[in-house]
Amino acid sequence: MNLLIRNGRLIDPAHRRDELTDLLIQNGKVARIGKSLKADGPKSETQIIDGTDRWVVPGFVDLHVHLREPGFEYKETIKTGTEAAAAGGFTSVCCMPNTNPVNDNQTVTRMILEKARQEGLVHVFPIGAITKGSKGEELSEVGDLVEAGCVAITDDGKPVMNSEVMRRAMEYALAFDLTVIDHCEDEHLMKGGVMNEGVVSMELGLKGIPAAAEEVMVSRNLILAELTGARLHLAHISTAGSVRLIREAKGRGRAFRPKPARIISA
Amino acid sequence: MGLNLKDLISIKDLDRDELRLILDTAESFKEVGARDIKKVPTLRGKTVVNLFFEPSTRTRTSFELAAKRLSADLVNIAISSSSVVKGETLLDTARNIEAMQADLIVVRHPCAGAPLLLAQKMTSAVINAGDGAHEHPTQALLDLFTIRERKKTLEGLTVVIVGDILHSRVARSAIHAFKMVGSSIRVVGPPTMIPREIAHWGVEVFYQYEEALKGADVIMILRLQLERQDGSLFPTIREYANLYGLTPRRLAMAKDDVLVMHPGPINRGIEIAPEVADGLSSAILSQATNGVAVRMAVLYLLSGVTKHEPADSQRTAH
Repeated sequence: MNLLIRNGRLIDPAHRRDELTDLLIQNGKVARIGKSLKADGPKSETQIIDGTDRWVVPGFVDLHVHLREPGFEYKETIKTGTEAAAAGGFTSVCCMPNTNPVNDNQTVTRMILEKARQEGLVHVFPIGAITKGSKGEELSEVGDLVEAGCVAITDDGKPVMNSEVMRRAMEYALAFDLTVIDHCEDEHLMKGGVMNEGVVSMELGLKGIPAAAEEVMVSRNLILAELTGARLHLAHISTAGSVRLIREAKGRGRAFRPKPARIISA
Repeated sequence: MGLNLKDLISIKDLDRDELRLILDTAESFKEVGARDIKKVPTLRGKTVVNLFFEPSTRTRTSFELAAKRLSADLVNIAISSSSVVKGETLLDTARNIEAMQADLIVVRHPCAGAPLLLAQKMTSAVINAGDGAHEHPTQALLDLFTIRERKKTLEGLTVVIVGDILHSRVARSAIHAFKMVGSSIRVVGPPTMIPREIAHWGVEVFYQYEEALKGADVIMILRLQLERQDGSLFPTIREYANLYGLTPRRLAMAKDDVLVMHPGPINRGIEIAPEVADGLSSAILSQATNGVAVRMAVLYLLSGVTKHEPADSQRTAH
């Protein structure tokens, strides 16, 4: 079966493409790009899609999704989460470990991958927990998690507040060339806050969260990454100060990979 | 003339003339409270519901007396005895009360914005009786009323607001109200209790009580919310009382005819010395008396307007 997408706006930054053109997929692979394409073989074997006023793009990768399974199936499942991903053009998703039980051992990792194989619509790459139960105290069996298929570690949603634990996690991850992801928010500075601290929070009488709550943790993580040489990914960065800190750290010669703030969560 | 408003959520809902109208109306209602038979038929047949999700003595009683003196039917709903403890949402509770044909709903809620939400969704008039750290508009109105009664004017006065501005709905409403009538405002308290962005409100900030008091016409003391004391806003009650307690010695630094106000309940010996609270400068009990008259005015003026359909678009968050 072939697929011919006619006259779409083909956007592929990696290949510096942005043009109105046709795209032909044969046997599951991109075969040709160009104007007025025709598929090989009989017409009945080619599905044609009119791409007028639509974008044609490579499959997107979402590094930060919550599939909620196991434990919170009433919110989302691997099936519904990957359906949503596919509907939005995402062909690979990395799922966060804040399930119940937490994805801090290979049984959970294997269960997620098995479910994804059976019911998932897109590629699923689990991310394991840095610490047991994401409690921020003891390291998970990271080697086991990697062996089972985890592609990174994080205690997402729960910043690793103990700097000693974070240091050791970064060092331990070096053995597996694994990226450590941290949700940068100082739990004490953000406590009870519901919005950005500023004129609007003052007017509304709502408890604000200062930019410093994020920037304190960004600084700490950057300093620990420099100390350990670990691969660090800072999740949902949202302040100008954080960007400045990352830029300064990169200027000192390290390859950091910050991720922009997530506006919509999967 | 009535108020061209469905609800009273924030002092910022009012313009200068409307604010004056409320104070003038309250003046004529104040006389009712001084009568032997404290009742007028103005709101006969109207239903007022007090919906309080936080403990309150003064404000709830004040609204209750105001409604009763206007001959309205009044129902008090307290959180502990309501369906909210069974898990009903705020909006469902309010909609059921509205379905029983309440004309005016007086709401106090620990969450800033709760009365606004109700106002947007309901046809009944909603009066904010305090929402989180956001606003307490009738408190500001009764404060203005009390000051105007004593000082005969509001313009050009120097008002000092003392204490936890950051967490105070009383302070927010007062600052907006005093700005509207042309008083100049000073705030004083430990920096941990002053919002970082306070310059936006155009007030003068002091950390030293004595400096703030020079030339003051009005000292408005905020209650030290002891329940907030978690060790990071201020070290001890003892130190707070030392630095920000209004003692007779400090009182003497203000103008001779200074007026001392407090929304209550007062913590005697902490933010205010007993001899100041009970002294000649104190207007604290007048505030309680005037509160009833001001709330009568607000109930009356909001009950008189044509009922609007709920229209989310007509009102924006403050």
